[in-house]
This record gives sequence, C-alpha cells and structure tokens, in this order.
Amino acid sequence: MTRTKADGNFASLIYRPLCVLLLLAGLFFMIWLRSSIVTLTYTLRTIEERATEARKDTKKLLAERAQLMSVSKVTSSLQTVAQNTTQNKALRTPDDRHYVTAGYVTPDRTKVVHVKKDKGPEPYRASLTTGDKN
Amino acid sequence: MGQGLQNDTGLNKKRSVILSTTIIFGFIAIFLRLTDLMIFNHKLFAEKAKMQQVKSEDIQVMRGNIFDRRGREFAINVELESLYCDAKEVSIDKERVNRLSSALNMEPRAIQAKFDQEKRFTWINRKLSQERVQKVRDALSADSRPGTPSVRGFGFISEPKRVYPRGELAAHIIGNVGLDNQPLEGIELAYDKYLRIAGGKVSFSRDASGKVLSSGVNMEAKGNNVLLTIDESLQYIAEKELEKAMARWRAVAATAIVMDPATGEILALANRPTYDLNEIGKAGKNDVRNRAITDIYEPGSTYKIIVGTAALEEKLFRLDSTFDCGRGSIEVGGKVIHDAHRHGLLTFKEVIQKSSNVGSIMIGMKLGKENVYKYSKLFGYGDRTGIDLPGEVSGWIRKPEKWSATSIGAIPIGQEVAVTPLQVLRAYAAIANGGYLVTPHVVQEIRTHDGLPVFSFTDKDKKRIISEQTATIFKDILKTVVEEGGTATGAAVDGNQVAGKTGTAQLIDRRTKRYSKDRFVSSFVGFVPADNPRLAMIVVVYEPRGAIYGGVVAGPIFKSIADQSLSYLNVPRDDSREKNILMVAK
Repeated sequence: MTRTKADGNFASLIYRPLCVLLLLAGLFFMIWLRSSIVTLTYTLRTIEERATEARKDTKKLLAERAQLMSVSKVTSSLQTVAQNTTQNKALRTPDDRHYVTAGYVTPDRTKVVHVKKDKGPEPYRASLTTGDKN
Repeated sequence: MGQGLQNDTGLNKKRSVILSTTIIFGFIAIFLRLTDLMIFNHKLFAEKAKMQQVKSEDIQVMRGNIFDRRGREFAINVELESLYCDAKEVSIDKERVNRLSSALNMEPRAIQAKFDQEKRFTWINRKLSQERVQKVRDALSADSRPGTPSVRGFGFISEPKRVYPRGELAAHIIGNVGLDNQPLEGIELAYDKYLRIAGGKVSFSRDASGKVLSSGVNMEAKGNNVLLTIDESLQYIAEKELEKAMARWRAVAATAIVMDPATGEILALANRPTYDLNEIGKAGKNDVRNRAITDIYEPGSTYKIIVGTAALEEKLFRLDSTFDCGRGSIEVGGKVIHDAHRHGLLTFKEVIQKSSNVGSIMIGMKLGKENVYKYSKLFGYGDRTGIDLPGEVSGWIRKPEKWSATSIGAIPIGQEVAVTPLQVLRAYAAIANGGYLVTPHVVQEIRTHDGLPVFSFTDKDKKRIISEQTATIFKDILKTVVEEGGTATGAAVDGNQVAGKTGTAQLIDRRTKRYSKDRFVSSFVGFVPADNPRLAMIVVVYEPRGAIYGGVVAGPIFKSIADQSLSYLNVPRDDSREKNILMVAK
C-alpha cells in the first residue's frame, strides 16, 4: 500500500495543532496547578492561625477549669452557697446542711465497709453498703 | 513595476536585517543581564530575595506542666499578649497616650519614656489579660470602629505565662517563675532542666504584600511534665488545719509534713504564713520561706528517740530498767536540768512516755557522747535529707570533741542541736518502717508531653540504721505517749492507734542570748496506724500563745489532719473486725 500526499497533509493538519494545543494546555495546567498550590498554602496558613487561636482559648479554658475544680475553690463556693441559702429547701436534712457547710467532707469510716479476699491477687476495695451484722 | 518590486525586496531585506540584528542584540542583552543576575551577582540577589520573601519567627516555648499524684494540675501555661512598640515609627498625640495609660493602668510619663528611647523594639507592658488587650486595641485604633488598624509602630506578641490554678495550695513545693519564665523557687527551680525545653526559629515564605504562607511546622515546643507525690486533698487538709491552728494559737508560723514512711514520698507539705503563686508581688519575705526544710530549731523532746533507740540497739538497758527521777532535776557540768513534773522512779519505757529530761540524760550519760553522736548521724541529723527541693539546710550537731561539759546533758533532750522539721520526720519514719532511713522526695515521675517516661524516682540511698527488733520495741514505747498517762493524749485518732512523741523547745532570746521564757516551739511527730503505718507526720508550731506544750498545741493538729487523711485514703480502722466493717471474703 502506498501513502498518498493527501493522507500526509491531513495527518499534519491534525497533529500539529494538536501538539500546539497540548503544549499550551500543559503550560496552562502547570500554571493553574502552581497557583492552586499557592492558594492552598494561603488557606492552610489561615487555618493554622485559627488553630493557634483555638489552642490559646483551650489553654485559657483549661486553666479556668483547673481553678474552679481545686478543692479550696469548691469548698469556699459551697460555703458561700450555704451561707446564702440557709432557708434553702434543697438542704432538707441536717446531713445535707452539714455536707454543704462543711465543704470538703471525707467519708465516715464507721460506715465504710472494707472488703478484702484472703486468697488471690484481688484488688483492695471499699464499699459504702454495710455488711451482714450477725 | 519590476523596478518597484526590486526596490521593495531590497527594503524588506534591509528591514529584516535590522529587525533580526535588534532581536539578536536584545537577546544578547537579556542573556548578559541574566548571566549577571544568575552567576556574577547571584549571592547578592538571592540574599535580597530571601530577606523579602522569608520571615523568621520564634517557636513558642512552653514549660512542662506540674501535676499532683492524681493528675490534678498545679502549674500550667496560658498564652497572653504583650504590647511592644517601634519607637522610630511611633507618632502619637498626648490624648492617645492618656488613653493608652488608662488602658494599661500605667503612668503616661512611663509610657512616653518608652517612646523617647528611640529603639526599634521596646516592651511597653507584658502578659496582659484579654480584657486589657481589648482596651489597648480600642485605645490604639485609628477610629472607634472595631477591628480598624491600630496606630503605626505598635504590635502584640503572644507569650506563654505560667498559671498556678491551686493558688496558695502547696506554694512552697511548686515554687514560681519570673516574667521571662526563669525558675525562681521550688519544683520550678529544682526540675527546671526537665520542665524547660530549647526553642528555636521557624522560617516562613511570604508574598509581596507580606502575607505569610504555611510552613506546616508545629510552632510550639513543650517541656516534660512533672508528676508529684503530693496529693491535693491531703495538702488541702494539712493547710486548712494549719490555718486554724495559726488562728487558735496566734502563732508566728507553723509547718506540717505528711509522708509515706515506707517510701519517703511526701504526701503534703504545708507552711504558714504562705502566699499565692499567682500574686508573687504581694508575698513578703517570711511568706515564701519553706520552713519545713530551710528553718532550723532545737527539737526538744522529739530528739529523745536518739538515746532511746541507741540504748536499745547497744543493749544497755531493758524495758523494765529503772531510773530514779525523784528529785526532778539533774546536774550536768554545773548546770541543773529540770523535768516539767516530778516523776519519781521511772522505767525505761516511762522515761520516753512521760518525756523525762532527767531519765533521758541518764541514758545519754550511760551511752557516752560518741554513741549519742553516732546515732544522731545515723538518723540523718546534721546532714541534708536529700529532698528534691532547693534551699534545704543540713542543721547541725557538733562533733564529740567539740562538746562542752554540759553538752551530754543538753543533746539527749534535744538542745545544742539544730534540726529541720523534715529531718525529725525522717527519723521517726525509720521507726515506722522497721529501721530504714528513706529519702524524702516530692517528685514521683517525669514524662514527656506525649507520655513517655523520662525519669522515675528510685531510692538508692535507703539503708537500715537500726534493727527491726529495736524499731518494733520503740514503736510500742511511742504508742504509750498517746495513751492515757502519756504527754500527747490529744493526738489520739479515733479508730487507729497513733505512735509519736511531743516536743517543746525554748527559743533563744536574741537580747539576753539565753533561753527565752515565753517563746517556744511546740511539735508533735508520729505515725498512724501504729502497727501498719500509712502516714508519718510532723506538726511544728512556732511561738504559740496560750499554751506551749507539744501535746497541747501540736498534738490536736496532728489528730485532725490524721483523722481526715485516713478517712480520705480509706484506711481501715484498727477495730474494723470488731465493728464488723471489715469483711473478709473467702
């Protein structure tokens, strides 16, 4: 089979612009990709800044929580509540009032039942339920 | 026509020659310039570009956190804004200076002085609260609209600030840091090399407008976390009871230490007066003193443990050996030493139980000064305990060759020696744990912020100083001190037997250089439950008013702290079986 001149012309007519087009498209794609990466780094930076701010706030909140949870703070708050609400209906029994006014209260050891096993590596446990008093 | 065409072709040729020559020269010029930029002056322009495009920032360095034994925070960090100015850029009118001064709560003159320095960087005020930062932003904004850019030459930098959420609780243990987070006291100072971490710088790329691009680097470096042996609740109990005692006895100062006698772990260490770690500026010189380890005093009768155990260890006396203390006084080297009460004939056991000076001196004289000194050193007196806190003093006891004629009458009863409360507690812990001298410590463990172990305390120096038999016998003697007929019945705890010893020592009058008649140090040291000790504790009250005896002043404080602490730790009562509250499951 012999190739005609018309066939060759047709092929060059298609391929050459296609190559140029591909070259241009590739160039634009590269530029677009690069600009997208730059945009992404900008976005990332913005997110990083927001994360830093959030981290700062978290630290502040954690510090506040730690302050509020300290034994002395809890006790003084309870005592203030008790002073302000001597007629508080929520504090019905003398025990309730005692716990609130005393603030920090440790368990009454005559009511704590210690349960331990004679054998085996069982952990030492404490329970508030009283045992069989035979 | 043909002529015209020929002329055109010639002109075109000329034009094309000129054009191509221009293009070639143009390219040559570009090539030369590029060669100049990229080869000959590459370094210079690269540096210039780097300066314009790259921004360098310090990595935020955070000290490690300090937690109690249950992971409750005692020292953490927050980030606060600090205000700085570039004095060369600042152009500010008087009215705005006044607004700034009221926002910062500073004198306008002090602010103006910062601008006059004409430095490119000057701090105006550091580590401002969020509310204050907002006030400053408002004072510096170009107009009243929120978010408008501020006056040129000012800026904020975020800095870490140490926060102590528990305030004055365990202040003398935790210690504090300065404005630049440099360690000053306590754990902050002793464990600084673990808590601190090296910082460094991170470089960012930025565009022409100065906008910074992401570097993907973590901008925060965290130090190691320290886990204490202290328990917040026990610490609170000790501090609360000390506070009450200070008011009750109108004392000058007070100290309480609670320790695990088996391991040397300090569970609580409290001093009065004290201070708030978040307000160091308000603290006085006396407030920051950790009296438990830095103040020495004559221990008085608590020192009788030395002659007592030494006599048993050297097998010089039996428990039923008797001492004639009927006269109520004894003369040593021309000095007469009295008992608080006349006791008559006392057994060895009763000498300790009733805290007889005369009996103790008799034992000391039989032991001899070499033995008294030897056992004093064995119990750790005259040496630092090795606690991991800064500023500990060693106290002192003179070598036997330097003793005076009266020393053998003074040292057995706790005079002519200087000790710290912690040394006394450590000596009694040796009785409690069966004869071992432990190393008191406040740090249990150090971990990285990711939780990996860095350091864990191990007591390499734990050594036996007396036999288990002597420790057991002496423990039984110490139990009688708290029983009926002893000097410290007020220290008895409901449900568990206490073993301990009272101490009442006179202070030296600075004016007369003699023992004062109205200034005393009252103390009680002991452990509980006596047969299976969980807690060893010392309470020292300096210069109480209204009463002076250790059993009256310090004993009840010991009782209150022990009562609550045993309950908090869920330690069973000695009578649990009888009361049917100890169930043994088969």
